[in-house]
Amino acid sequence: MTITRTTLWLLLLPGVGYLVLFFGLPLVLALLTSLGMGTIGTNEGFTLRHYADLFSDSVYRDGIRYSLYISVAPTLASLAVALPLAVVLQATFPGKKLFLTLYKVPLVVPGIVAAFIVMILFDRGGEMSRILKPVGLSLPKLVRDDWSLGVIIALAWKSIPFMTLIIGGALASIPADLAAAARSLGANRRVVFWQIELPMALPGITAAVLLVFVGSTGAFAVPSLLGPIYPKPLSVWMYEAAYQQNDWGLATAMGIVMSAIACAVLLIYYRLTHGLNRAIGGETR
Amino acid sequence: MVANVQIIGLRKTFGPTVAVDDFSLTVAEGEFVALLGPSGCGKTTVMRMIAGITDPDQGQITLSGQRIDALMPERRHVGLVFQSYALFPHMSVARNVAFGLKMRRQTAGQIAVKVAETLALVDMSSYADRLPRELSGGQQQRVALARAIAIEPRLLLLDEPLSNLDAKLREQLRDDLKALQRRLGITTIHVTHDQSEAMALADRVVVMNAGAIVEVGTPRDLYQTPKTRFTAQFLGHTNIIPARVQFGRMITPWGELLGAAPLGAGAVQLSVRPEDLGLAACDQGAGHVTEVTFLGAEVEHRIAIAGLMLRSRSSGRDAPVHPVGTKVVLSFPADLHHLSQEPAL
Repeated sequence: MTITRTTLWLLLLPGVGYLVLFFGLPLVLALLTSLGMGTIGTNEGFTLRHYADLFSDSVYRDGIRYSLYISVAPTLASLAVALPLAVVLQATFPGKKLFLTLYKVPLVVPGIVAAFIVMILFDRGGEMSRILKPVGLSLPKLVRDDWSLGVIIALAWKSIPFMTLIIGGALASIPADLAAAARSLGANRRVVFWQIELPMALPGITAAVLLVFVGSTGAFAVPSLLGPIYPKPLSVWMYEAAYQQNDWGLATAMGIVMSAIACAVLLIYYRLTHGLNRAIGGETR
Repeated sequence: MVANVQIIGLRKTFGPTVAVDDFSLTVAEGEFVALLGPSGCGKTTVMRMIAGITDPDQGQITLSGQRIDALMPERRHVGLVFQSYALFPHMSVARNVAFGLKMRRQTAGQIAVKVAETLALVDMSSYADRLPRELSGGQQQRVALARAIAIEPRLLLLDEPLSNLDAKLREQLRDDLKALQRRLGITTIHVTHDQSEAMALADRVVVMNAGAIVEVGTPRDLYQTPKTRFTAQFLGHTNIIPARVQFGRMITPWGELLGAAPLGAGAVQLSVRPEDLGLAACDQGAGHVTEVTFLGAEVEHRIAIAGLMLRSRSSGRDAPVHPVGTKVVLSFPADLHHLSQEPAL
């Protein structure tokens, strides 16, 4: 049976059509708006003014840098916890069932609630400092601090179960025979993990890292509540530009820059893991 | 390098289920032993305990005098081949075979030589750079075998290595496996549920059922003179005939077996292989043919006699075919065999 051009297009229509309509079209509209040819706000004809504003103003440059920081740092922090946790959860231990239920709780807690939890626990005069005060210990500043530790804690707290779930799934799908075969060939548990299990779970780990990264890039509520007064992330500046200054051109330019940064990070990450895979696992073809 | 194996009183339970109980076995240096039994009989658990993947509850495993049952699997120096091949999917054939050698900290030069040598041994030299997923099942199993023997193990464990292959390929690989084992002289324990595979490969067969050893012997002894009904029926087909020995005469349900040597005493169970049971058409015969099946190399008759249903097989071009309903007399081999370890019926 040969598929004619028309049938092919018809078959592709539901999938591709959906993407074009709900992803491509808004993206194009945002791009046009940021170039001054928008349908929202004033139409002023083609201009690069908004991008020039964005990159010439040090406030926005700091915003870009800060947005990148609060998406990379929580992703790395989550990975540092989720990967060992996923490995531990492959084994059986008493109380595992209860733990498996409990550790997923942050998945269903909204980001803003997570931010308030961190605030109540870790802010100056919060629960933790009250508990620690009689012992003579004091917490470092964790809310509205220069390093945004509170933001990182809240975002990581949200994404650790999600990452653990994905990486755990990737690890669990590796047949047990592979580890047994490697052990019989003289590999200890550590070597089996680094040379067999990790390379095989890498696609899952990659997916988890990218999803968490993209999720954190656009975080709004958590940095607004827990972040320092300055710098603010691009997401917050975007909101202010659009709703307080009614400058949709600038807001969409920020959106486009943020998307471009996310794409660039994804590309770099793909290159890195590709190289990593080759280095520790052997050929990838 | 090659070791003998001594297993004493091995036991393993999974919750309330006893998987293996009181398993003791000695395997000589260079011997090929098959663990044969239906699925769930505990044969794979025994193999996993020898490899160190499963910890035994009780018992000892000794390789050439060295206790290994408490050693980590990576310290046992035992080769393992799985039914699922278990090749590392992200490594080429050559890197799979080199894996165990790298773990032994051999130099790159030594490894390259050994990998080339071992791949040549299993006829896979031209596939060194392929990934496992680019190979057929039979080729993958050859690589798995090469990977296991490259480390020159003291003992080779094969867990149903041929079961995922189709019949033609299975036979081919079976012959290659046997030749390779004889050539290298590696002590080998082969786990299988396929009785023809066990008989074709092994010097000795260990028949297992429900976690325990039923019988141990050479393929010929187990086939021709099984002591138990389980062995007689698990290795090929057999006719079990309840009989009595009275005043030196053998009495079967349909009458006396003339000329049969007195054997056993009181009630006995005879085991007669279908190919040993002869039949001839006779109007006064006590049995009659109920079914005739042409199997190509053989003709099988089913005979109803005194409430029993027996099978007889004859081979060759001129094998007689008796139509259904023909009255027949049966003829038995001179050296009748009875199941000595079966309780009398």
